[in-house]
Amino acid sequence: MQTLKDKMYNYEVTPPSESWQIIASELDENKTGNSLLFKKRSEVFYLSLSAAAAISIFVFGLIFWESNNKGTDDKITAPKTTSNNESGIGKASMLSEDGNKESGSKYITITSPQGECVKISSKAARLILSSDDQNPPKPVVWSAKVNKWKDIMESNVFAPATANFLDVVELTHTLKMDN
Amino acid sequence: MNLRSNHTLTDADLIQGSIEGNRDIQELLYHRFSSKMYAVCLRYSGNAADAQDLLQEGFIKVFKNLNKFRGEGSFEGWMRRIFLNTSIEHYRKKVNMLSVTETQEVTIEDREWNILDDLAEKDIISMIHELSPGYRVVFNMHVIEGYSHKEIADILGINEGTSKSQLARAKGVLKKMVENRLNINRTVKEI
Repeated sequence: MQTLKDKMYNYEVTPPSESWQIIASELDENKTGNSLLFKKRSEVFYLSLSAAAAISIFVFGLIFWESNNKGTDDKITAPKTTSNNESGIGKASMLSEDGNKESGSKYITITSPQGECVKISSKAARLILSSDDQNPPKPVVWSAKVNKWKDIMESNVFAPATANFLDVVELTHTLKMDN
Repeated sequence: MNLRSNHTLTDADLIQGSIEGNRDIQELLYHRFSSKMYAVCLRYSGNAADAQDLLQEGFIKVFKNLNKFRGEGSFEGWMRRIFLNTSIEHYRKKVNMLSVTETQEVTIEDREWNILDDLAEKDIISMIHELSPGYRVVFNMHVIEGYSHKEIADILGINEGTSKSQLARAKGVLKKMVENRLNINRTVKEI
C-alpha cells in the first residue's frame, strides 16, 4: 500500500495548455470586475438618489400647489372700495380667483375692510351680495329690504350678543319700540 | 526574461510576487505546481474535463488566498489542502454515502493490493474514475492522502462506519477491475 500511496501522491500530469490562459483571464476579470462592479454600483446609487430627489421635489411641489389652490378656492377678496364704507360693515365681493360668483363649499371666507378674515356659512353669501351695491342686478324689493336692515343696524347703538339671554330680551324690546 | 526556465526563484519569491499581482510570477507559480495539482484533481474527479475545472477553480482560490499562507508547513501541502477542499466541495452533492454496518464490509487483505503496484499510475487513475464519487473520495482521502476514518468522517460529515464501509466497497470494486484487466491481458498474451 505504501508503494501505491507514494506512487499516486507524487504522480504528475501536465494539464491542458489552455488552463493557464483561462485562469489568467479569470483573475483579470476578478480584478477589473470588482472595480467595474463598484463603479456600476456607484452609478446606480447616484442615479437612484437623483431620481428619488426629483420625485420628492415633484411630489412636494404638487402637494404645495394643491394646498395653495384649495386655499384660494374659497377665498373671497376684499372689496377695493371699502374706504367709503361708513358703517364699517365689510361688503365682500364674492369673486373667487376663478371668477365664480359663489363658492360651492359649505363655508366662505370674507375679508373685512380692516383686513380680518371671517369664515361664515355660504348660505349668507346671497345676503352679502344683496347688500353690495356694486354687484347688480338684484330684485328691487329685496334690495330695499336689505337697505332697511342696514339702516336699522347702523342706527342701533345696542349690539346684542346671542349668548346672553338678557341681550336677546333687550333686542326684542328695542325692535318693538322701533316699530 | 523567460520565467518558465527560471528555477532560481524560491517558493517564497513566487508567493510574494503573486501577492503583488505580478502575472509572470503567478504563471511561474502555476507551472511549478500545476502538474501535481492536476494529478490530485484527476484522482478526485470522474473525468479530465472535470479535473480541468477543478484545477482552474483551485488555482484561482490559491491566488486569492495567498496572503493567508503563514509559512507554517510546506507551500505544496497548503495548496494540496485547497485542491482537496475544492474537490470535496465540488463532489459533496454527488457523494451518496450509504451507511452500512461493520458486518457488511467487504474485507480485503492488504497483500491483495500488491497487484495495484504493478499497474501504471495512468491505469490506476482510469480505474479510480470508474468508482462512484463516494467511493472515490474516501479511497483517495484514506489510501493516498492518509487521512484517518475519523478525519474523513469529520470532513465529509458522515460517520466513521460509513467511511470504513465506503473504503471497503471501493477496494472490492477496484479488485474486480484489476482482476478483469489482468485476465484480459492474459488472454491477449495467449492469443
